[in-house]
Amino acid sequence: MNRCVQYCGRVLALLTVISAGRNAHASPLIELTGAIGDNGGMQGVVSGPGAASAYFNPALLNDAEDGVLFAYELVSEQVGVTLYGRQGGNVPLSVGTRTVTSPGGVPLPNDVVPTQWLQQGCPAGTGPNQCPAPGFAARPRQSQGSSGVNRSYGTFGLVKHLVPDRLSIGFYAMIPLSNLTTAQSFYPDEREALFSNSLHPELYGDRLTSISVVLGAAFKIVPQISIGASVSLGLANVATSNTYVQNPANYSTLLLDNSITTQVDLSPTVGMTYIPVSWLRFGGAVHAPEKFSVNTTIDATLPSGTTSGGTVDNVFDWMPWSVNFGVEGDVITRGKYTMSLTGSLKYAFWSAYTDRIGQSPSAYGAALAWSDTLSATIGVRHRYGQARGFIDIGYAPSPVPEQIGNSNYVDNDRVMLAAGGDIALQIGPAKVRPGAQFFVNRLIYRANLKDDALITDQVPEGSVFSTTGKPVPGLLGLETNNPGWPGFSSEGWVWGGGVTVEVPL
Amino acid sequence: MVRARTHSLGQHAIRLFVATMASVLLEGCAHDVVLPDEVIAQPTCGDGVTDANEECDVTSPGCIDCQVQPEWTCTQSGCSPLCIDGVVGTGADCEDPHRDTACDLTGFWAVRETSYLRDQVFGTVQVSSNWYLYEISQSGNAFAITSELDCGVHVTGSATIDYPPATKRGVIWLNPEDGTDPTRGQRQGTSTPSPGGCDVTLQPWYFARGVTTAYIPATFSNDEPLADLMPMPTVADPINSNLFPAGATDPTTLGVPGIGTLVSGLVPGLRYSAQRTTTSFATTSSVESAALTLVVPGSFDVNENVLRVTECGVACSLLTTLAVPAVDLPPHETLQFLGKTLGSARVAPIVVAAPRVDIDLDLQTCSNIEAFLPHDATVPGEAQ
Repeated sequence: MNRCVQYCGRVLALLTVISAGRNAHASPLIELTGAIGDNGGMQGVVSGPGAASAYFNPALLNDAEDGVLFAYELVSEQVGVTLYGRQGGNVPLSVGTRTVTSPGGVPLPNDVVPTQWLQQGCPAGTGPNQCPAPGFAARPRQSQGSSGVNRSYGTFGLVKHLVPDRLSIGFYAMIPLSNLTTAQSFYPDEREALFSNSLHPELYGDRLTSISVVLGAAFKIVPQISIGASVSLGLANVATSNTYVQNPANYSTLLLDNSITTQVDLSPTVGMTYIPVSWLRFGGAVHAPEKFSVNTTIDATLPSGTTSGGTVDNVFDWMPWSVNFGVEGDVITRGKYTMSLTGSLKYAFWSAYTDRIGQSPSAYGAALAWSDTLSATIGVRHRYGQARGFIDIGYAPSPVPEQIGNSNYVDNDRVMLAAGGDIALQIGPAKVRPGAQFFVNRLIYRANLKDDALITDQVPEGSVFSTTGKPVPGLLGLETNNPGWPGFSSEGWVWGGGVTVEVPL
Repeated sequence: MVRARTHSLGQHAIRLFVATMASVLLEGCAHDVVLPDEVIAQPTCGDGVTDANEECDVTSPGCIDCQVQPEWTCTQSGCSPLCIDGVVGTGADCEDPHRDTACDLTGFWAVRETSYLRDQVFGTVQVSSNWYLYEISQSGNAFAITSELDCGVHVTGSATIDYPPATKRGVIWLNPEDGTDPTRGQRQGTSTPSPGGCDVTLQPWYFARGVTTAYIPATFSNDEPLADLMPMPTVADPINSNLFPAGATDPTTLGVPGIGTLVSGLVPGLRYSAQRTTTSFATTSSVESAALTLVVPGSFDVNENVLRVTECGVACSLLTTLAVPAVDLPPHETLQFLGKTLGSARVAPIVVAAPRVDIDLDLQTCSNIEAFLPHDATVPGEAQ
């Protein structure tokens, strides 16, 4: 047994070490839906030993039943964004002539375009107020919002005790059914006006399509204490695009060689359970940061021999270091009936957040940096014979401060509610455990009013036409195409549910 | 007691869950909303939209401060002067306006010289407009330019190029065609009646910008090709050089050799160069007699050496590449008749003062000419 202890401990340690520090597909999806199956609910760190414990607290795998889990889950993302009406601030149409300079003669940056182009487009032509064919397509504010989406997932789980009451392994995966995975980058500031000209919820959207695959193991050191470790499997992409630009006005003639490398990466979770007495259980887990990084290098060569290149580091599905702790106690035990109360805390280090364009929110100013968060969940568990159920309620503050500056991170405080249940049935020689569960996240209304003093004036006072030296007409204070100016609000729901079937092995 | 409370807690939780699910079903679908913009009462003259308190909002000397000037009429697309001072037409609205002399070009003309070049990076066509003010005096079939201003350039295509104000000021009197420089004399031309209207010619002329006149011929009438002339000043590394090569001048008085041009678009920055050009024009088919607008084809050549580039970040090397004349796309000169008399209601809105007396007033005149005869970015033969 001592040799087994040493061997298994080394396996767990190795599992943790090889995965530390590598990029991996994150699990914001699993965090949002909570544990599927086995009565874990939103408190998988201490409750509901099952396949989902591989992610939430792998040490619990020892207490789960051998079995496989199949589930179908639906998640509806309904986050409404309201942009406040603009109060002037339009970038003048004359900026489109690209002859506007600062008073010192420095050309206005090319990423500043007339507001009218964004709202109404610029027709094709060579006359005044026209653009070269095919023209500049209109992209009105918030016309390409990304919420209001329903997604479905297939879930598969497995728990197997390799050494009964000593060493167990678990597997848990949530796979989006429509698109295997998606990654959608956007700028959280005025640059997005050139693309969707819309605001997008920062912590949902494509984050809910991440591939979430977890493999874990648990080892019982002493009867009261188990430890566990798991790794999240995912993808990391490196793309290199070598281009030869024959004509900058006709990109259909572009010559392009792509090189794409995809690698599987790992990210660790470690957990522990402590059961001092049979009716009281403690659990804790630490999740390492996770992200899905896409590094794109673009090299362009021009017919003159001029070569230029750059690298864009997109970061998707970023998840922070988080420390989770929970306690569960049986408060009523009467015959076949048991009722438990459960509570858990989660501290997440969101202050280190990296957004989709690979930058920290603190790039917009120290006051706009994200904060670490402490979220809490409480709930009840019922068990009567072969039936069991749970209800959890929790609160998760947003790490995002009020967006008073250039940044437009859309996020809200959340109130969470989840419920579910299952029952073990004997059908002939087979035993199955069908179940159902639901969750609701209410994103509490939040308003963000911009402070004009913190907004980049895209056409500074005193700007002149390079051709005449005359002031640009229509400049009056702040001019910006920031889609979030002069403010915005958001609220909504993220809710879902599904059915589960577990088959004991 | 504890058990009763915990049991009650469970019931409350179930009720809360049911209430929440009901709320979700009732309002669980979110929609994005954009609230109406607030209309700001601010001056909008110059935005191209004729507001209630404006008579016009177009870039034209007939529309100043969004008010239609006397003897002008304006539409949403532009303004045109009425029938006075050398222009006749029919009716009160001066329909079918034309000059009151057939082939005599005497008077003030806004001139736009349009040339086509190919950049040496992509080989794409750039369209260049170079504006001038001409005052022409004709006797018989011959005419001479008696006053002239060089009003600067605007280039579109793979790059947008303009003169910054300092360059405009530096070149406006630099290459006189009106005899102000006795060594060059007056630029001469002919306008001869023909069966189809008038045949027009304009003699060859040379322009030196950012270099001394030693780099252009002493006598223009020989029409010497630029390639046969003395090599232009050059520097080995325009990106990092601070040299001021012999023969270069500083017309912009910025302490930098050559004329400065503002490049915007794909590769923004400031480019200083030594430049010489030559042009000549002659009709290949007659122009309409007495027309207000004449279009005369011609020839154009340019020599240019980049002496320095600044404000160009990491893309300075692209600014050092230049464009060469597109031999398959000959240039042309567009002459738009203004009027015959300085100070008349037709001429005064554009030519605000006698040329070459007050440079600030001449710059205003040039600005008016550019607005009056705007750049045409159309490349012949390309589908629009």
